[in-house]
Amino acid sequence: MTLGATNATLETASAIAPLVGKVALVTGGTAGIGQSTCVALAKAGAYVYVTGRAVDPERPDLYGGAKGGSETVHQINEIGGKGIFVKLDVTIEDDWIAMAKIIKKEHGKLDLLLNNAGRGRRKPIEQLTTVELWDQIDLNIGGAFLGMTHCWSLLAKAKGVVMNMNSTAGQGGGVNSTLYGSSKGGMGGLTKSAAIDAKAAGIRVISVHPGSTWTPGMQFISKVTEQEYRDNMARERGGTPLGYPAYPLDVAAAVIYLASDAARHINGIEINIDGGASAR
Amino acid sequence: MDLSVDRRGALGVSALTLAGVIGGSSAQAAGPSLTGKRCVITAPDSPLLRAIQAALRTAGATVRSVYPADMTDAAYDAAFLSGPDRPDAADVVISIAIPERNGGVGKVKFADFRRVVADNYGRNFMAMKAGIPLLRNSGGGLYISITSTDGRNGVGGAAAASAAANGIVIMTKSAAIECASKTDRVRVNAILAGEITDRKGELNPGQVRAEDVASAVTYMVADGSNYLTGLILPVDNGGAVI
Repeated sequence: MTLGATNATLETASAIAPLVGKVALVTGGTAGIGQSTCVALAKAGAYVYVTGRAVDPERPDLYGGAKGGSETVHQINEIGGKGIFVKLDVTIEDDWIAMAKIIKKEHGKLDLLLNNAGRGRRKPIEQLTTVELWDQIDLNIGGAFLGMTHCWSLLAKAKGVVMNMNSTAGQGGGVNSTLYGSSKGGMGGLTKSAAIDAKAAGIRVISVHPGSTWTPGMQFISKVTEQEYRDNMARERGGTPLGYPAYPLDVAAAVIYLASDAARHINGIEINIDGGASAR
Repeated sequence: MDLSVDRRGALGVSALTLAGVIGGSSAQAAGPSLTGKRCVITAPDSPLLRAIQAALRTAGATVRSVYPADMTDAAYDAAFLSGPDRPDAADVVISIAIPERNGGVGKVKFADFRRVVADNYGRNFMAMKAGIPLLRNSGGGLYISITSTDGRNGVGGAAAASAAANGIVIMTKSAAIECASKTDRVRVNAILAGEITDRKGELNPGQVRAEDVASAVTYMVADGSNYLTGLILPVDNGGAVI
């Protein structure tokens, strides 16, 4: 039996810990890490609110949007889990107010808020615009802020946990990362301060930092195939010591553990799922 | 505002209806199964050691505990290579090294400083040296260094503990880089434990129970965590930020 050189599967990720009776909300649950995490959470026994925008205006035909949300719910149904899709743009406060009302009416509590929705504007700083600046602030920082603000009482009721989906890009500098990296850095500061504020309410707040992860979004950005991406990582072992990418279920496994009762005394941390990249 | 609720999956069947019929039958009833995993733990006796042994065994793993009297290669090789069922191979090796706080710079004597560093930093090094070949022999595996949160934050009155624990953190990261190759397939992580307590009720930030650390160990050993290496996981009830 070997523990090396493998990625998580739906079976192994969902087996990390039981989440029966827990209620979860995942933003950006329409594709990539969010979609796989929704399905894994449901497989572990949680009721999952899959959320996302009705349409991804930049990539309407690629993935995401209500179509992606419907696909996520379909996958949850297929494995006998429980969940629904709710349209939610994390940058719109009225959407959050309505979302919280739905959860309050249907469950009266929220055990996990996974602020996963996000996007990277990766360009040299001189090519970035103030429109893109505000887009990154609103989406990567403001979305998490609004989510925590409007779900706070529901989380307190459950003594639940907030996880903000960050990135290893938020922990250090990188090429073409002045805006994306710094927005995730801001999200990291928000997360640490929220962890302090949350103690009185019994809420835990955790920062999740995936490294190079193969997702539809990564394919869109990198313009390479999955095999080319893997080959590049294998050649450039200096970046990620394991030499191959994470997949969304590797991140989902960490989310499931940290959302479980087994992790009730883990709080205010940053967890890296990066194949050793941040060990350098 | 455009916010609506879609309770239908792609099959056009209500998710709530399906949930009612199936009733979450796929839900996992317990934690991960670790059946078949061969674990070696090196540590002096403590409630933390016993909690980790119990958690691993409950999950189905086999556990062999060793703690050589002497810090020599011969003593470590003899201890790690003893026991039944292919003692030359293991899937998991765990070192527990929680250094005591025995005084700050200017107060602690060098002999006492050196003893704490040797008993923790030194023994983690010896455990890696003896244990990582066992992991290679099984085709890959996981090494876990368990030390204290003194490896992350400066703390008064704990010169030796800080040196030992932070040394273990960097040793862990370096070993993770060294051993990640396809030929080694060995992953290396660390857990930084807060103050271990058996008190009942709500704990203060920085305090945890031994069972909390044991749960983190089973998470790292589980197959779903196979992408983790070089991870430094604090289990300290928010002690770093709260």
